[in-house]
Amino acid sequence: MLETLGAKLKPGGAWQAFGTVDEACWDSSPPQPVVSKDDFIVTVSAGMRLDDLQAHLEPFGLALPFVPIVPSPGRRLGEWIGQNVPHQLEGTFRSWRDWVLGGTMLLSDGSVARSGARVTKSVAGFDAHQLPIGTHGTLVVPVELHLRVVAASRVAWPAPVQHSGPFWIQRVLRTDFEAACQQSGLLWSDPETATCALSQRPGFCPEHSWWMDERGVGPLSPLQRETWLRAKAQFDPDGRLAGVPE
Amino acid sequence: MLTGDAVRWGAAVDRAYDCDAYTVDRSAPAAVVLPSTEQEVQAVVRWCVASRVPFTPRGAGTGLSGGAMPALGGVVISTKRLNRILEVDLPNQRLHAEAGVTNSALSKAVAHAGLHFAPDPSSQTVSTLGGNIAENSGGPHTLKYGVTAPHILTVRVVSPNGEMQEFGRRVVGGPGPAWERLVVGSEGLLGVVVSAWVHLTPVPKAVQTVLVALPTIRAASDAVASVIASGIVPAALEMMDRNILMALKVAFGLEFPADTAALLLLECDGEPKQVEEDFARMLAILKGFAPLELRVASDEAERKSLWTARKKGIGAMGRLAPTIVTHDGVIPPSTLPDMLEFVYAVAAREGIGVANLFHAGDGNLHPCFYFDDRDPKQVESVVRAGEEIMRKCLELGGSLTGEHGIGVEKVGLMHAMFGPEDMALQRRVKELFNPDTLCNPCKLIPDQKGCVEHMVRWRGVAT
Repeated sequence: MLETLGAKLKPGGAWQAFGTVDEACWDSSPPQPVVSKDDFIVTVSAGMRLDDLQAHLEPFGLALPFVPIVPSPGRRLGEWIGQNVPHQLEGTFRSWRDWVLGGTMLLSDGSVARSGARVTKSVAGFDAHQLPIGTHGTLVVPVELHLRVVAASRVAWPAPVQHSGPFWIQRVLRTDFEAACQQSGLLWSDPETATCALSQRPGFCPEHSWWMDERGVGPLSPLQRETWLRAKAQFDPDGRLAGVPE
Repeated sequence: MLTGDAVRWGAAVDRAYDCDAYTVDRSAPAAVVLPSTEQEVQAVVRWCVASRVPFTPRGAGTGLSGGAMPALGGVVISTKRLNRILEVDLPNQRLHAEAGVTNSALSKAVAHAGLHFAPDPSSQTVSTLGGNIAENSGGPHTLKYGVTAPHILTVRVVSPNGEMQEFGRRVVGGPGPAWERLVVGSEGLLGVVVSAWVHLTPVPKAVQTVLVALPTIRAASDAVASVIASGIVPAALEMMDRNILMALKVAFGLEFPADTAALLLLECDGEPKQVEEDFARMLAILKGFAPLELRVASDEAERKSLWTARKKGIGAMGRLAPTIVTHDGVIPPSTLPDMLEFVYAVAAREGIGVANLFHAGDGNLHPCFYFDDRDPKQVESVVRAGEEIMRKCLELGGSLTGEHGIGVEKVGLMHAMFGPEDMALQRRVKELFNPDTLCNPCKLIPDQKGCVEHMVRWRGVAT
């Protein structure tokens, strides 16, 4: 079953969810997405590259309204979800937490479990399909995703920011946005979400704000981290998946 | 701890708190407590844990799946007295409120600044923020604005073992897991919500509303599917069938064109230019289905008038029978035409009345059965019909529930939607936050220890 879903077990028996593209666990030729054009839903392998998904949706007049701040060609959906970094259209279309309607996940014990549904609205059970989002493959490995997409005609595609090297993304309260934009190394900013991208680590960090690097790693609250570690022990007791970032 | 009228018990309390708005299953509490502070909630939870007494959080009791029913008795923790808005931050479009504040009070508090709390369940004048969070409530405008989850920044909970915890950030998003997204929609199993920071949404600059009368259910459901497939995202797309219209006429004297089989209420909102374009396209689509009447609101007063039918529909149902049970299932909108025919066929076979008033745009059905719950045979028919409809939703690729939750009503159907490995994952999520059996037992997860034998008892007292 896993092979048909596009997942592979790494040599040595560990599920490697993330890392470089070459190290990713997903098959390089995952099954074709299943598009429900009239319902604006696509079911897709988490191993599919974002660019390939967009190309597949185009003939249907659909799109995933996701534009990375800095382009990262070749990156797979599962990686984007695991890192959950902000993107340029978030103010209008939100992001992965609202687009992932459900899906199939691989657990560290080798079992495959589903959560959510293939409809835009479902509150049946806990939203376990939120587990892969922002958790860097540490708890479960997303295998197949039900994604909400939009009519391509509704998307105004912004130009990506040309930048090489590391960068940081910071979000602040609207009242702190102007000050945040005064920081040196500003690459991009979005007043709608009060978010900016910087070529250096933010030096201005008001109380209610957060930042992350381009991999989606940043400071956590003690409770958030402690719960993540407890979840890690619960979902991956043998440590077969990636470790919780320091 | 709590004294005076903050602790209640006795026959009247049993009757008032033995169910929520899902009245088929009932179980009386040993006592009801009404704490006024989060510290009091924490003290009650700690006492329950130390005394091994089950406890069940409750907001306004408007839930429709039995989520606030004290399934194993014990203590009901009502959050109705946690009713303060703690902080309003207009420049940053956010607000901090206690769990017992009503949904509509949140919007009223910031209306002067052109903001509102977007989730708008039909119960919004009484249902509470805590209840909305527990059920991940939806509403007519969910189609565009989403359910409760994306509007919640933080949730402060008393955990099932009595710890005070705050999940989330006061700014949207951020690195790492978002545990608040698991607490939202967890039906009170992962703790007692005491307060939350919510995100506020600007009131749209332009709104256009139309009420459309159509001659057949098929035409109405085809029209819904066509509007959705066009790529337009209406703010709301609601449908009401002939039986709802009949109840509205009897209860409130509302008149609709003769031969109307279904009404559609559609609304576009947002930036004026976009609204104008979308609304014109939508009207063109609707005209293709030969409507009996197409009434466009010319001003805010007329808009409110067009919404009257939708807002008063459930209330009017009381005229048709002593009891109503509103089911909740989801299908892909493209399958709506076939699904509605199925709903009517099931009700006819079971010999019970059914009316449909629902969120057609996102395929969220609400078959509303009207019957007399003093007749056990009718109760059985309603339960059987509901299950059959839910199974059909699943067959069409949908879900058991779009906004009412699983509660006790559908706990036995979870196996129909999820396999053993899926349910094992659900159990792991519960155990991460709630490894014990005291916090809102017998809900959402089937076959919980000590619950199975009680299911007969709940149903048995539906008199």
